[in-house]
Amino acid sequence: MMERYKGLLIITVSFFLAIFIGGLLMLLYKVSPIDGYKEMVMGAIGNKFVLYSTLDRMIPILLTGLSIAISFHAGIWNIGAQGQLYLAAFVVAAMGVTFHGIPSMMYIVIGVSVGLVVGGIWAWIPGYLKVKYNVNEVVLTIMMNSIAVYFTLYMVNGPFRTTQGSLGATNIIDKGMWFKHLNPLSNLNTGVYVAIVATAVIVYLMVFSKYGYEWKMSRLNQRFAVYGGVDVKRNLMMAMVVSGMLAGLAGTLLVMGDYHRFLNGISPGYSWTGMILAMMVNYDPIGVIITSFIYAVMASGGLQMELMLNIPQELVQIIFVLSVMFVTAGYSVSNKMANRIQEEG
Amino acid sequence: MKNAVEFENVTKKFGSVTAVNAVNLSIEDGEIHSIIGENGAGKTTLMRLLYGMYKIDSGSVKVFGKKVRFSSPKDAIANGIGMVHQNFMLIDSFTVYENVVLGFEPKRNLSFDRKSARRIVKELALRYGMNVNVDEKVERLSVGLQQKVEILKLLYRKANILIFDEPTAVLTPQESQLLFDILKKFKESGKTVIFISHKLREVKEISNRITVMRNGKNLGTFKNEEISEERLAEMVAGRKIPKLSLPSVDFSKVALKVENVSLVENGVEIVKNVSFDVREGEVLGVAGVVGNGQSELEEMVSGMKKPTSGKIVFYDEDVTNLSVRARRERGMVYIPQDRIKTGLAPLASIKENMLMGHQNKKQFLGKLAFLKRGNIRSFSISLIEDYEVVCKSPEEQAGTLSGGNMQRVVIAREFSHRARFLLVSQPTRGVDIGGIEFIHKKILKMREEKIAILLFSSDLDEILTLSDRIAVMYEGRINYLCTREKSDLTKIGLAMLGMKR
Repeated sequence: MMERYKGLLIITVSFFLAIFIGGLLMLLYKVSPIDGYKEMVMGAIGNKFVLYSTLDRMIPILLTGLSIAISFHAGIWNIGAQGQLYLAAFVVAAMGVTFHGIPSMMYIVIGVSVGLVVGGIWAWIPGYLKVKYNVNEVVLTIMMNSIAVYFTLYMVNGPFRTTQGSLGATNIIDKGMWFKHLNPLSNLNTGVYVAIVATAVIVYLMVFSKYGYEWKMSRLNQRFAVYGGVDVKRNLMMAMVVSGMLAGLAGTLLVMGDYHRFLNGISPGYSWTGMILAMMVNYDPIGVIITSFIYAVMASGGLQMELMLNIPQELVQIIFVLSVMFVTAGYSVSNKMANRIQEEG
Repeated sequence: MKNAVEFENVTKKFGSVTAVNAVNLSIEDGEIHSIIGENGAGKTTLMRLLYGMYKIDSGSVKVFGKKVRFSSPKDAIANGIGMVHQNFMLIDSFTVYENVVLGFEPKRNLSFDRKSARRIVKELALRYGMNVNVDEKVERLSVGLQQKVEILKLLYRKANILIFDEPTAVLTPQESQLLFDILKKFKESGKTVIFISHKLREVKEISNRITVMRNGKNLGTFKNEEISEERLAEMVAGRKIPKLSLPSVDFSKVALKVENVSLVENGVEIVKNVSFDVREGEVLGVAGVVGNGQSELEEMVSGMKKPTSGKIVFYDEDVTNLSVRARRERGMVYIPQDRIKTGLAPLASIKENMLMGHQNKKQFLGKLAFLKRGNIRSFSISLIEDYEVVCKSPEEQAGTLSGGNMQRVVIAREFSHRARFLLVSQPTRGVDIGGIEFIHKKILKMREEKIAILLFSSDLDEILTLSDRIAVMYEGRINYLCTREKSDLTKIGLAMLGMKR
């Protein structure tokens, strides 16, 4: 609990520091920071339309963030969310362009399940190799990212190349597989309910269940967990597979809800953003929910800010990167102080 | 007589903790002065203040009458002060003489003069009767010899005031004796020795004067002849320490049987064909110099390691290949030797640490693997009270506790299982005197409840206090096994060095 408060304090202070510096940068554009931020916030949550867009933007970051959080929380380093997302998204899209005439409800259930399974399998492989043969999972998952990304790139330029114009994408998937849009003006769709359920399951697993406890203990001291009778290998596999499933789900929702096809740049680094967010909040799932929302607000409000006040959108990136930097610095300073105090009497 | 060191009203705080509290102390030139106290009494901090590792908050230090203010150990070394730390600061891949001269190498022109470095170190070793090969790499030396390298380092730097921080914690009785001979030689040659320890017997043996510290304060300095061991113990602990006794029990039923167990790791046979049994209500103490197979034997009994051959039988059931969890379910409780690496997750809270091993019990595990947070919290609070763990709350990080309190967390957690067998290793390492008494009582209470206990300890006093029978391991074998009545320090010490009677 103490740790949590300390973390919260560091993150809040860092965030406001970054916002402050962002404000100074706005002054360079001769814009009052208050106006700038007001525009940003209004542009992100000012009305139903923009709020929906912001939430839509939040979903893939939230899911990949949770995916990273769960594996890192357990002490197995799944850097492969990008590959799991891509492969799941592609397989779901490939299915959607191949099979037609399946009843919609059923097709959606099948689509989501396939996405979960593909993401899960793509994480299971490195997980198994890690647990069984102690192969470094970081290297493995990074390599498997490349395999997945280039394999799907090949597929959308070869066998599954679109016949409907634009390149680097599949055809539009069967309508039966689409998540309905909640509002004609934004991309937010019924897939959001799936994301909410998934988030609830993760919060339960990580915060309230025995598994969350055993995962954390395995990360903090694996030997201690073994000593306490925890089946560390099984636990690590479970965390890894669930992590892959979440990344897969992120890809699946992008295909079935947002784009209705697989395209080559389907994830502009969602998994990396998710990873940074997860690490910033020390793998706390609630923290991931909050920070991914804030990130989505800044990202979608940044556009409005640029349109209205002529401040470049990249300012948002600067603020984001600054807060990451301050958080990292904050943790290392507070750890140093803790060590000082601890150094026996 | 002239004073080598004078502390005047020295205070040092770490955060809200006052580690050293207005200490006045003078160390005479040419004496062996011991500082004794529990862990956390401030002995080590006081010495680190003298050695320039910490800065003094208030007060002053005089060395040979001159007021000094060191900002780093370099200043202290330049003023003739040297310190041998609890953890050695040596470079394993360097030879003895290279380590000794490191940082202050003799130079010829601009290059390192190996020849004279080697010669100087050799002469120093000879002069103080230290039998060590100066060309050997440090990684190949025993702990006792590594300590000598540390001492040589100080001598090489021409230290006149030598500080020893719990130097005997890692030594066998015979090695300790050798160290004391060296310390006495230092005294004869006019050097001042400051000796920090919590072992009363040692302090009584070598000191001219003894200072007792408790809670950061100096409780008084005494001439060795003028204070008894009992009185010292009382002052250190702050109260009377009763002697423990072992009521006799009927040892007929065998609980744990170890049969011809061997362990081969990386082609080396670490444990060689070991057999013994532990009976209900009996404490079997296993002693030995670190690295003679005790840790491995301990891990095989606990299930952390699987033996290469042989059998471990627990109440007529072969448990050799059972997992740790399966063994725990059968009532085998384990207090590991290394609480930081094995017994705890220092970064987790006390509460989380106390739950480990209990998390599958109905009391804590609800439907759908939900943890019952309320029960866990009240469980940890009651353990904290029963075992007198000094902490702010169950949410506090276990790693911030003192060594003794960490050990209480481990013991509280393990003793709250329904045990049928207790495997306990180094239960009081780094624990203060009050804590030792507390832990020993708890272990003996388990013994009274007819639980079989296998105790590993490198503290021979502990082995002799608690054990009904004593075994000694040497080079992977059990080299000695005898009842306590027929054992004494000399016999055990010789067995630890591999000599059979």
